[in-house]
Amino acid sequence: MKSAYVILIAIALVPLIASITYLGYQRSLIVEVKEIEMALEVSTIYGFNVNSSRLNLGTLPQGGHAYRDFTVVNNGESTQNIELAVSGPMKDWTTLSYERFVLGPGMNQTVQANVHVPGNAEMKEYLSTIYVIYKKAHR
Amino acid sequence: MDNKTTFLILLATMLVTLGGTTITLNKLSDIEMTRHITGFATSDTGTGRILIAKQVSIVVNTTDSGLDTDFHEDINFGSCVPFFTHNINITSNESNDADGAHGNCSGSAFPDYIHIYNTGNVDANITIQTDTNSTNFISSGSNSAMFGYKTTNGNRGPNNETETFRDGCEKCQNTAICAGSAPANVTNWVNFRNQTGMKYFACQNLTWSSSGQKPSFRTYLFVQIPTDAQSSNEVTALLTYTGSEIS
Repeated sequence: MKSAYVILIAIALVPLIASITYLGYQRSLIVEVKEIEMALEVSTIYGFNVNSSRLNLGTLPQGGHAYRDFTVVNNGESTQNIELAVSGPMKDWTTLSYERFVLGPGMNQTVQANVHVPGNAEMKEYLSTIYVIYKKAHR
Repeated sequence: MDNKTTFLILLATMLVTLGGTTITLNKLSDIEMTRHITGFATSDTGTGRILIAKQVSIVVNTTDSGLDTDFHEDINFGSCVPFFTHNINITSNESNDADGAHGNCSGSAFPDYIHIYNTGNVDANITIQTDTNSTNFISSGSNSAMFGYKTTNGNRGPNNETETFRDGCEKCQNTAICAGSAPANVTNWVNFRNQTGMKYFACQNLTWSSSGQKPSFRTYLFVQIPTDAQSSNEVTALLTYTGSEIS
């Protein structure tokens, strides 16, 4: 009976340890995380905000569509795997032209952030964040 | 099974799992990398940088709801029947002309113009592009089909009070950046003749205001339908405005 318990515990431990190892491994690859603040106001007009201190998309009505580019640069001396993720209230409205790519030393990649405002979006200012995760491309 | 044996089995399980997962992940990483790169530096001192473009583009979707009173529906010229003797000229700012004579077209009571504001805190130059040029907008054997635009300033106060027509597009003072004596608006009709994707000038130096006002400009649309225009299904044009930071 005790042997059965031990085997069950051992089996249960396998996915648990594998998951923890996987997460730890992924985390160990991260070299740097950059955050890009993204801003949009939903109102009854179309308006520009070209200020490039953050990823401003201006003012759009419900159902509106805007896009803006940003460039990811690898200033390091080694190749990086780049992963991008959007967080915040605009997460489901935003599509990125690239979500993961590889950058060699000194190279860059331009990414377009497209935002489609839903027809039932509440009229107010929205802030979200694009995370740019630099990961080691080799051990 | 004694406690020592149990402990050894569990320890072995953990070690095998840990090692196996790590080895597998490393192998997968190798496979993924060889798909993309054949060589790389050995240092891992990477430093990232992000550059945000000085341009932002807005796609005008005229089927939106909830817009202000200036722009609450499509600019829809309706269905037009060509004249036999002369071209039809119809502009969006004649939309309230209910007699229909201005174009022999069925469209009526649509917005006179598209209103674009500067709601930020940086001046901007604005261009306009269409996904449908005049040749594709109106099929014609002659060369006189036109689909074009012009722009004027428009300005409203913080409470949408009466327009004052000041501010908006202002002639750039820095001739090193701007085109010398070029006007700030497009005062004459410009035909979207060229291939789609071309950016046409719309507004020079769309200013911003810290006083709560909303500097803006308006785009009016124009269609010329020649006598030999061919019948077609409904054609739509999507307009994209691009604002560029003036620095």
